[in-house]
Amino acid sequence: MRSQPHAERGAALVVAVLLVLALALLAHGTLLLAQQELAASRSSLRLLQANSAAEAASRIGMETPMPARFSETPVWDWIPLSSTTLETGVADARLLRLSREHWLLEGTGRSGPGAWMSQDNRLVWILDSAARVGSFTGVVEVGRDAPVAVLGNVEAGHLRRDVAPLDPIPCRPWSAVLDSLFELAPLPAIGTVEASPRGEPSLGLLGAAELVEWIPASVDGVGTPEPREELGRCLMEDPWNWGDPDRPDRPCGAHLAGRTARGDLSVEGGVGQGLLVALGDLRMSATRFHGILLVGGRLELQRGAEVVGLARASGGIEIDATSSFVGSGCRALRALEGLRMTLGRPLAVPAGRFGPP
Amino acid sequence: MMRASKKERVGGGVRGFTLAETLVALLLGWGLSYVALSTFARQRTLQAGMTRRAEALAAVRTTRNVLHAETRVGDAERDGWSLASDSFGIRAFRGTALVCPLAEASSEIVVQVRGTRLPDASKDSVLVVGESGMAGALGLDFRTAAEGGCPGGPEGRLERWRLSGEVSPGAVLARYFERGSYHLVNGALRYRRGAGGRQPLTPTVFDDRASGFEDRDGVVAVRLRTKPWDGDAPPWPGLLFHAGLERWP
Repeated sequence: MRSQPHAERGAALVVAVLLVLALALLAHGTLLLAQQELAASRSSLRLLQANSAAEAASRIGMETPMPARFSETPVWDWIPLSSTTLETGVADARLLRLSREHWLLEGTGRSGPGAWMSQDNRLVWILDSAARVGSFTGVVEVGRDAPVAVLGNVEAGHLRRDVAPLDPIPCRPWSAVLDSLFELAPLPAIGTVEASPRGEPSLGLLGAAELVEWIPASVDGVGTPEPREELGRCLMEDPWNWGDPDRPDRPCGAHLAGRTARGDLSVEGGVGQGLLVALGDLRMSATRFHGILLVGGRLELQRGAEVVGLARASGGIEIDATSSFVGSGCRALRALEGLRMTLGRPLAVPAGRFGPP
Repeated sequence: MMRASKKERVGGGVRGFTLAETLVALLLGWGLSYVALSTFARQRTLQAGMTRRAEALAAVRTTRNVLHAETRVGDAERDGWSLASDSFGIRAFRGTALVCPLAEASSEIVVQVRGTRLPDASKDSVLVVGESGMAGALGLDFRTAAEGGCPGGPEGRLERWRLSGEVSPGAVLARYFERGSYHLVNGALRYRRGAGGRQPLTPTVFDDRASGFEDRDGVVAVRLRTKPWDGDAPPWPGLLFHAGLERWP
C-alpha cells in the first residue's frame, strides 16, 4: 500500500515574510525622512545663498559707475547697472528713478537649480545738477543769523543767461533747464538756510565727509590757482590748477576742478572754475572764480575778487567794496555737470534699506 | 492469522518526534522571533527618534528663516522693534508702493503696489519715505482702484489710498505693514498679529525656559534650545543669530 504524501503545514514563512515587509517599510520611511531633511537643508542653503547674492548685488550696484547719460533717465524708468555671476548664484542690480534725485536700487540674487530668489532693496540719492542748483535760496546762501557784510556787488539778475563779458556759449546746453529753474522764481541776492554745524558744508545729502572723500584733490593753506598745461595737455592732477574760465579754447578751458580744503583756505589771485569746498573759512583775494563755493565757515571776498556762480557759506559772508559776486545758474550748473562722474554716485538714504517688497 | 501490514503496524504515517528535535525547533523558532521582533522594535525606536529630530530641525530652521526674513535688512527704530524675553514685536512689512508724485500735501495718494500680499485697510499702516528718508507712520484708512492713472508716474495696476494724515510732496515710497509680534512660548514659535491670538509656526519642540530673545548692545539675538526626550540631551545646545543694524562700509 502506498504511504500518505507529506502535508506540510505552518506559518513560519508567512510570518517571516510579513516581518521582513514591515522592516522594509520602516526602513523606507526612515530613508524618506532623511531625504526630506536633506532637501529641506538644501533649500535653506539655497535661500541663504540667494540672500547673500542679493546683498552682493546691492553692494556692487552702489560701487558701479553710473552709465554716461543716467541723468537723462525719465522718472519711473529702470536702468540696468550690473550682472555678476558668483560662485553660488547670480547677482543683478538695477535702478528705478523715483524722482530727480531719488532712486530705488534693486539688488536681486538667484541661487540653485530651482532659482531661489531674494532681493535687497535700497533707497539711494544721486546728485542731480539741476536739482542742486534749484535748491539754492539765494545767489549767496548764509546760515540763519550768520553775519552778512556786503559792501560790494551781489547780482542776481542773470541767473538764466550769462551776459557779456561772460561767454554765453557754454550755457546753451542748459538753456531749457535754467529757464525751468529760474524763470518763475528768480533768486534773491542773499538767501538763508538752516545753518549746518561749522565745518560741515553740504550739497543735498552729500555731507562734508562724503565731499572730502569723493573729491580727493585737496588744497590747504595759501595758494594761487592758475591753469597749467604742458605739451597741449592740461595738467589736471595739479591741485592748484583749477581750469581756465577765460580761455575755453585752451586745454584747460574745459577743466572743471573739484577741490576740497579741510580747514581754512586763502586764495591769493589767480583764476579757476568748478566746485570748491572749504570746511573752514575761505578768503579770496583778487581771485576770479566761476562755479560753486561751499564754505563751512565764513566766505570773504577782498581786493577785487570776482565770483560768478552760486555760493553757500554757513558762517556768513563779507564782500568788500571792490569785489563782486555775480549770480549765474549756468556756471553753477556747468561746474556740477563737469563733476558728474565724481559726484553722481549712489548715496544710501538713512534707514532706506529693505528686503523683497 | 495474517500479520498486520506495515502500515497498520506503524499507524498510517510518519510519527514520532524525539524530544531533542522538538527542543531544537523550539529554540530556533524562539531565536528567530526574538531577533526579528527586537530588530523591529529598534527600528521603530530609531524612526521615532529621527522623526523627533527632524521636527526639531524643522522648527529651528523655520524659526531662523522666518525671523531672518523679517529682520535681515531691518532697522530697530524704523521697524519699531520691541523686545521682551519671550517675544519680539516688529512692524512686519508686507509690501512697498511707488507713490505717484504729489503736487501738494494731501492725505490721498496714488500708488503702484508690490508686495507679498495686498494691503488691508483694516489692519495695515503705512510708512512714507520722503526725500530725506523715512517719515512717520500713518494709518491706512481706505483703498480703492485709482481712476485716471498717474500722469508721468508708474504704470500698471494703481490704487488710491486715503491715509490718516497728510503726505508732503516729495514722498517717493510708501511701505505698508502690520503690527505683529513673534513669541517663543508653549514650546513653539508663534506669531501674533495685532491683538489677535498667537498662531504656532513650528512644532512644539522648544524648551521655554532656555529659549527666548535678548538684546545684545542693541542687536537682537534669539536663543533656541529644544526639549530633551527620553532622558537624552538635545542634539544641539542652541542657535543664535543676530538681527540688527546692517552697517554699510
